[in-house]
Amino acid sequence: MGSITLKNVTKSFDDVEVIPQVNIEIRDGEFVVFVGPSGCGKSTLLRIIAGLEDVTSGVVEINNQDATALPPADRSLAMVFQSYALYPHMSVRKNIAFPLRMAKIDKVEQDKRIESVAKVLNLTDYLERRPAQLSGGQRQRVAIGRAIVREPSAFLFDEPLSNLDAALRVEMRLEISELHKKLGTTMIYVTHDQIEAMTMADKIVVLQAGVIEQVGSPMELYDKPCNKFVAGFIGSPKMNFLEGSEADKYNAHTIGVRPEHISISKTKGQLVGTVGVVEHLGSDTYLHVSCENSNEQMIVRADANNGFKYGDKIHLTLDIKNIHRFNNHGVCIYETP
Amino acid sequence: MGSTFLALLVAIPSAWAMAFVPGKQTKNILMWMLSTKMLPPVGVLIPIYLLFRDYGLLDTRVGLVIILTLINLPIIIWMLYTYFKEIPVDILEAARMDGAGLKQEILYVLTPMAIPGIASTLILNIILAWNEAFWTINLTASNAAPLTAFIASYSSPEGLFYAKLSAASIMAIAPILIMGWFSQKQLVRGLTFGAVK
Repeated sequence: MGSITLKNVTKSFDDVEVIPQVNIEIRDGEFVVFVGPSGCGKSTLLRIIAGLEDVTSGVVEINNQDATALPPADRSLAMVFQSYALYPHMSVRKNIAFPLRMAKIDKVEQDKRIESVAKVLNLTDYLERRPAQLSGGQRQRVAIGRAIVREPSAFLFDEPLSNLDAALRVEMRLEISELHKKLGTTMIYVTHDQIEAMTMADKIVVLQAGVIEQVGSPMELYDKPCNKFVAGFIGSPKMNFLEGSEADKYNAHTIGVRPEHISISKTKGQLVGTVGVVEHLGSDTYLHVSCENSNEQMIVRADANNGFKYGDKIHLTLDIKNIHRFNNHGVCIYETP
Repeated sequence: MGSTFLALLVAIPSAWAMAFVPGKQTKNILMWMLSTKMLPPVGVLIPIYLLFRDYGLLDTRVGLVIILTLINLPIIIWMLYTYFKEIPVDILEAARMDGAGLKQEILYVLTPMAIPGIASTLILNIILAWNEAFWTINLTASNAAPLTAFIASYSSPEGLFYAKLSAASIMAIAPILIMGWFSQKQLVRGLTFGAVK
């Protein structure tokens, strides 16, 4: 069991209100990702769930029991920190054994569990080493091992991959996803990287300034963002926004189109622009286009061998079925124009 | 030395609290403690002498322990405070998440990590207390006189006893020298602890 519910949770540091009011329900076995720009309160929210931070008001329920006043040690949650937070004076074995030692589990059982965790995480050869003798990826694995060894009811990850290099990050992302499939335990994952959120989550919670903007599955957020912030935050490269006369045609204040929903042509189209930077990713190419009628830069996805280069004139056509319309408050309008 | 252990006993919890549960006035309290070291000791000699006289602490070991503790406490708290500050809070929080209570957190995680800092503070304080001359000479006569006062007694109105003075001085250096010899690795590590990440 690992269901977590936040009811009307608020948090202030002195006079600064970090989280105005939040309600979240996390079901058992879900992989939930909190995502948002830095300073949006996502880590604070995670620390509130962990019990490392008190709530100013509201209720935190774990497994349908009120846990608001419980100390972190009694919540049966495990956390993986951004800085790994390994105990530097203990070997890997002792690091992983620490939660078991605190739970007063007998030595034979401890060894059995450590061996099995080490096997899952490929740490068997490193058990006697100190954290300082390990690479970043290995340290992260030890931190995860320390979390899974005591079989908690939920895992909390606080930006666990941001200290790793790009290749390792992709690898660990897969490993964590696999671990979730294997263990089936609830996981709450905090990140500012929307790619991590998109690839790993069952459910994404998008936060801005302590307010939940939208909750939904990755594809829901991608296809049906409820406002301009979510539309711009989810997806990479980000959505193009157009205002003014183009938007008026669709009876909206602002329209948004993703780079892959724009077709390009040399001869005709709705918009005319000049190609700026051309980014080749191998499979795709992204063109940065300055449009003639507006001072907005648009990003357009094109085939790998499109032949466009810096300074070329280009015509763009927006895919009408995939245009997102927003009113003057940035809220999405869903009925047809 | 009594004063060292008494001082550590007071200083560890207070430095702990200041480093990990800072309040609004923590910075000010630290500055105030430092400021007490800025006043020339002779400025408070007379009030302290009178207090000691009234409480019957003159020329007693208890009195000596109290005064040495008080004069070294600010430095000890400052040193420990900076050492504890170096310990990442994440690690303590990780221990809490792993099911450790306050006692276990301090015993198994904090203390082992702070040992170089605590050790060098301990040694430094023993040296400071051992070498302290101003207060010991002024507040003791014979019963509780430590080495410093004893050495000073060789420089008397009857003349300077150079031979005895030198012998006693060298004897006085010996314990510190031997202790320093054995603890230099800890001491250096402690003094440079956290200098490079």
